[in-house]
Amino acid sequence: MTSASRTKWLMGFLLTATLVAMLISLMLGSVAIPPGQVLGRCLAALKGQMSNDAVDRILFATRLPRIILAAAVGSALAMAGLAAQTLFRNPLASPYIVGVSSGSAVGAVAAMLLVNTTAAITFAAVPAFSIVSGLLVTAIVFLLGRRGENFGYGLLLAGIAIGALCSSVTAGALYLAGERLQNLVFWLMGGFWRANWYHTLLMLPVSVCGLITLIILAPAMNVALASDRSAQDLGLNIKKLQKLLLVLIALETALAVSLTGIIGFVGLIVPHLLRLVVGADHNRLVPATAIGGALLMVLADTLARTLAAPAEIPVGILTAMVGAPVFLWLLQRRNLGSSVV
Amino acid sequence: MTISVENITFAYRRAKAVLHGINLELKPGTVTAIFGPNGSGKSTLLRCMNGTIQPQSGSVTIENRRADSMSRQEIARMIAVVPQDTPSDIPFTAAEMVMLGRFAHRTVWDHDTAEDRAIMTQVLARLNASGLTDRPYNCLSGGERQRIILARALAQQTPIILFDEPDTHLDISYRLEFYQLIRKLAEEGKTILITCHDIFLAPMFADTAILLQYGKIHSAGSANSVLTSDSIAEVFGTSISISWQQNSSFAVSLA
Repeated sequence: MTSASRTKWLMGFLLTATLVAMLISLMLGSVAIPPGQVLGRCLAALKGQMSNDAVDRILFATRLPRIILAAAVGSALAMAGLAAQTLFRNPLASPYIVGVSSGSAVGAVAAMLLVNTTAAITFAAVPAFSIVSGLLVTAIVFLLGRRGENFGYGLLLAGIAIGALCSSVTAGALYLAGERLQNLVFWLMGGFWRANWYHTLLMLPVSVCGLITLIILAPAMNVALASDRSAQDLGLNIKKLQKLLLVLIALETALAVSLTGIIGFVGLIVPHLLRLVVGADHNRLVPATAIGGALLMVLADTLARTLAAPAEIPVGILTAMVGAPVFLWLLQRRNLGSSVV
Repeated sequence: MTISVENITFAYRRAKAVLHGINLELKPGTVTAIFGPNGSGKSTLLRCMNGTIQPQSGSVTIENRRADSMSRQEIARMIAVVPQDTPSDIPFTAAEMVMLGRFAHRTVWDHDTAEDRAIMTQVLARLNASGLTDRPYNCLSGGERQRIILARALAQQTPIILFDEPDTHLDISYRLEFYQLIRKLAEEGKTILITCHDIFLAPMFADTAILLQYGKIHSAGSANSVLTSDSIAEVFGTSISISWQQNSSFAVSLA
């Protein structure tokens, strides 16, 4: 099979699998809803016929926004991960490498500890504090790391240093948190239990815009893999691309983390995994990564809220549990050699 | 297409200039070869010429337009560079690697066209590298990789090509084949500049030789007037005896 037709098959498979996973996820939960009823209610809702009974409320006010949010966040983190791996030409890069996540964590923890009023205000304050501090920390990393000819390298080192500093602040806050410790730890592990339509409508456009941007940048990202100097010789303004990618990583990751906490593994492994299947050409890799991230996150979140129901397992634990075996299987199947980024 | 360098001076750090007042003009259909010891500024000169670094003074003009007024993409449609070293761990196939050469001709909505792919196939065939098309670039030998990088530069379809020590990884037969290709490209009207250490074979294929020392042009002209026993001794600090035979080749013996 040629790589083009293999890619078409894979895209079709990923899209179908994601839709099926979303439907299954709609069925499962504390109240199981049979597939026929889920489909019927969805079709009715599309025609604008809502019955507003308990089933509709479970499906459309509780489960659907959560599932779409999971898909949008999974997609955003996977795309940000791909952007980071290309920016740094390093397969071990994740969207968290430029300090966005540790910055966001500092903001969220500060909001939880300082804004000590009603739960409703804390709910609004945590995402707000978190996104501002995440973006701020990325800006600091950029200012410190941009000097010198090798932009990526400086950024990487500044990101690691500032990330470590932020992590120690978060750890200090956890040490002092006392009885609120469990809340903080649960937030840091990430999850979708706070999901609502506002979150979903905030995240979805950012993910979609991220996807469109990366599709447009795909040929430039290919050139960027060839080394900074060659990229310039081939006609790419590499500094401009690197800045664009950094902004994209920061926006997508900061928003995702502020709404759902730090969910690991997706951003690192999804682009990597799909590179093994479709190759390194970003024209194929970008759409595959966007859908793959959504699929993995919907699966992981469905497990997170059903495995130990009515309790929730932090989804970050499950993204690795679902993704790692698939990744290892692919790694075994393909003689990988050095064909990583 | 003519490219001229006027009085350029370049320094990576303020105190130490790598290039001092360099002037040269390259005409279409000619091969110019630059020789000089390691660190004499050959690669830096090439980078100034395609605008990836900006000289502190002087200017580079490509067909009456200043290089510093052009975008990277515009320059890449006029000048292709075959670099000294390319990382070997790039995860593309040979074909994808060559397609990168088409980047300068792309627009946002129009890339990877049938024309781009036709050019890729044609260039690989010209370099006898069609068999490498689907092979992973990182699994190729040094010589094969060099061929693919050369194919990438040809796929750029530029009137000017700059070669930075392209013969480093090539054995004698590939080297000859490569110099013949360069000559052919010049006959097709391209402007060729090559920096190299090979003072034995390369001069046979060059119209003009330039000897660079400490970032200055030591001498320039026909190869047999530039590469003499005296000038080699002066610039490289080594004594070999060179005798030219019929303007085209020469014999060397240790002095």
